[in-house]
Amino acid sequence: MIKSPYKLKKNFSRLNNFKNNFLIKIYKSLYLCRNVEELIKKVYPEQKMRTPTHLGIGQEAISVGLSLNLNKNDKIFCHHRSHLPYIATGGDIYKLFCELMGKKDGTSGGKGGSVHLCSTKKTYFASTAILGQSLGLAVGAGLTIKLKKKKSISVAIFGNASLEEGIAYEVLNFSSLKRIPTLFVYENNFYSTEMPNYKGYLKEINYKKTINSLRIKYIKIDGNNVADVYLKIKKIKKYIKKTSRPVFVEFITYRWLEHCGPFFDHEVQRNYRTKSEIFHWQKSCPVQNFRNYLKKKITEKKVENIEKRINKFIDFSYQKALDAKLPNKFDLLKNV
Amino acid sequence: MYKKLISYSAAIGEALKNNMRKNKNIIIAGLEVNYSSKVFGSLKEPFKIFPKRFLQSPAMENGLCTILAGSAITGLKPIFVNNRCDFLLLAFDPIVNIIDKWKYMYDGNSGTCPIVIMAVIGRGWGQGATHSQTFHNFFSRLNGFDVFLPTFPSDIKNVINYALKSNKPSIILQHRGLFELKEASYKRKKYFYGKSNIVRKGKDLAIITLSYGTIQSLQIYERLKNQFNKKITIVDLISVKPLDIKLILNVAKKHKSIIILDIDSTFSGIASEISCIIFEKFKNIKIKRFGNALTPAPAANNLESLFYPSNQIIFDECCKLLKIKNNKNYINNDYKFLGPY
Repeated sequence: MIKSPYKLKKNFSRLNNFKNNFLIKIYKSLYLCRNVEELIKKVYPEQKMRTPTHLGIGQEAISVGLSLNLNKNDKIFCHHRSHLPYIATGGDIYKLFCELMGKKDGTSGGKGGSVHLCSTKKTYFASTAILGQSLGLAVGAGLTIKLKKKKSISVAIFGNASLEEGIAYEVLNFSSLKRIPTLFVYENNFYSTEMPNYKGYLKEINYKKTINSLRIKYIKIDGNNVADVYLKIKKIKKYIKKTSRPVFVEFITYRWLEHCGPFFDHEVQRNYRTKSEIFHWQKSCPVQNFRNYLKKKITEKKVENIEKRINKFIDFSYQKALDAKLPNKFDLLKNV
Repeated sequence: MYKKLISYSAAIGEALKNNMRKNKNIIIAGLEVNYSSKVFGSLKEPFKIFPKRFLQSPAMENGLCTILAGSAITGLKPIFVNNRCDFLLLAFDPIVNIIDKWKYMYDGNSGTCPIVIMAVIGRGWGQGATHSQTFHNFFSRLNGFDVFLPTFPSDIKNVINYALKSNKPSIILQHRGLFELKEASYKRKKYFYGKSNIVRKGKDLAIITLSYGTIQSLQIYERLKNQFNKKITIVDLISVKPLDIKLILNVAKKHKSIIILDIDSTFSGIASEISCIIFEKFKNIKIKRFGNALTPAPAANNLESLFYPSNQIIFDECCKLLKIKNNKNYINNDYKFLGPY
């Protein structure tokens, strides 16, 4: 069983200096991420969303903490588990639902599906489905930033399996060699789809050494603690901008649901991990932990009010998406 | 009149240089861009003037092509240069899964990916199986790309000018045997996107071909003209995507028989596509396809000359179709490439 190397109950005392409004902002984002995914999980078996969907429940803190540090000039390229960064960076929820249902108003006109979201005007640029592509595209965006002498960064979000691909080495080497201002966000949830990392790698393998040997700074962060993510990324972003060097951050987190779909693995009789392992990690829930902290600060009632409003907003967006138009037959041949 | 001879590689250099001067977003990237050969001389001119816009990378076709795709969608105009078409195989993931589908996959909401990919097709002097392939037949199946195989210096210049202004991604494949080809530069042909070129006009028989095949066809044309006073038509496709179907059908209408000469094997390729397009309209036409043997390219010199369609067999076929009695042996070792690379 894989256990969390960090304490399950999170300590947010470092956020004490921040105003309550900022804390509420963090919670709103966390709660929105969680509940959009929960809604998709709920309605997914109804056959309304017919596209392979990778839900990220349990990994919200990374996207939220990261997004709070980025502005619209920064560019995120994401892998297939694409919803959380999209929502956290302010992506339109209605458009997300539309995309999942193959409606014309979707982020990609219903042509992309869950793994091909885009929101070019905002921080979130696009997500791609093939392993390792997000690293390359982000470094490409970083190359543009560098050559056009802009002051922003590009972000690559990827998981365990992407790092196994050959392209990861090529791109990391290049980014260090050419000093590309890219932040590599490695969401380590211990599994490449259904293969636990301890079966995929040699035991002695140490990513820190590998990455450091390419002269890239390597930092490990508790990916379930939004305070940690937010505060550390803030420093890292400053460092990247100042030195124009890439930084590699490993976030320790855990995916609750199956790789692709709305069920828990034990619900569909998969045995590559145990039920008790999931229960263990659920205690380190990034949303619930932060809620416990926030309610001490602003009372439980206020928190509930926030939740109510967000739920209403999600429901409204979902209903609107249900009524949205499908693409017509002329759209098939458009934008080839 | 201004009558300087300009070579194929010089034409590439000139086109790149002029465009780089106008568009500051153009960068040239690749594994060999800073090597002294400068892709057989073609990058010498632009490198003299814009050395800082050359991005020499480690050996990483897959990574580099993805990176360049990322830079293209965020506002640069990268040119990905390869010394051989075969090396592109390592970059097929970004080519097929990113660049080709970028516009469609996001329904245009994420912009386009206007990268230009240039690669050289090798042939001769024992290049062997992995340094002499061309993938224009595969690329022509991709929906998002423009695929060009220009033959003449003036064509490549026009094609590069077009590709560097276009919002679509383009692939430009250059045959190694053309790099030393010279043409009088005062011949300023106009180029229209998607249009093929009738190189020679004749009667009864037409050869539809592309890239180095055009040079071979011209040698056959000369021979037929000199020996039998027969003129044939030669069509240089210039681009396989888009394919100039209108011109092909027009040529088919005016000729009794057609030879299609590809620089790849004919099986399941552009030659099959063209013959199908013609047959759908004209049932009584005679069509003959020529291409490489259905094997990997051998290195041995004698096998190599059997592997590629020689002038001899095409010439014999021409005589047969034109009903000319050809008793004289016509042997011309057409391909003169003295290596090494």
